[in-house]
Amino acid sequence: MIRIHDLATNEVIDREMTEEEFAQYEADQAARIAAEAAEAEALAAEEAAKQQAFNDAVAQAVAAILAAQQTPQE
Amino acid sequence: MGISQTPQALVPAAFTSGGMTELASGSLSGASVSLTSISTEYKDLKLVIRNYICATDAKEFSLRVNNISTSSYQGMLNPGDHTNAGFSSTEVYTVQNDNAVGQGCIIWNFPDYANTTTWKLIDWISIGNNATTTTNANLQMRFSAVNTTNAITRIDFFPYSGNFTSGTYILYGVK
Repeated sequence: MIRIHDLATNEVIDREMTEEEFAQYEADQAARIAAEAAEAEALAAEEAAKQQAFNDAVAQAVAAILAAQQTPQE
Repeated sequence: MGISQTPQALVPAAFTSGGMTELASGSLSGASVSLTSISTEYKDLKLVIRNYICATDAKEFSLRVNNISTSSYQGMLNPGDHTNAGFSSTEVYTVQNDNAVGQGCIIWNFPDYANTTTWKLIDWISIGNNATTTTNANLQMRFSAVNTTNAITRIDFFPYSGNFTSGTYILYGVK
């Protein structure tokens, strides 16, 4: 159901969508679902990249510590 | 001696500049609300949405003009400079809102909406109830543009998904 307020007559009509309007409505819904999925995917990829960067930084730090500990003392 | 003074009118009978005229008002219902046959006799339009609630939780409030549903809108832009920006969106929309508590409002402005030579600008501020913590607010101040030089004579607004369950609208013409 959609509401149409004609300002020329101040008449308000509630009616079912026409076939053309319903097709547009369904296309809009599909596009929004796809956009939300793409946004979620991009967000997940961003989070994964952040986590990987953190893991790499931790691994480098640990390797540096271990290397320092294995250096022969004079 | 008594003083006689003729009372002066405080408000002119008709505003010639700066006044707002209510062009339409009503309640939000269904999958969309269309305001059609909008007069082009004003300088700007102001659309006030109050206490809006959509049936689907955490969804945005969307808007189109002149029934344009193609990629003709700028993305929802934050205040600032935006150069070389394409018209890639099929609508403009506000932040998400709760589907049970409706203390929000949106003020849409359509400056110089009736000219027939320039792209059209839209700006808005909105506040809505956060869908997760309804006592917290979702706030937004954005602007956009529409790739049309036609005067705006129709405005459609609708939930990003589902139907409106409550809320009101008022459209003003600004002289």
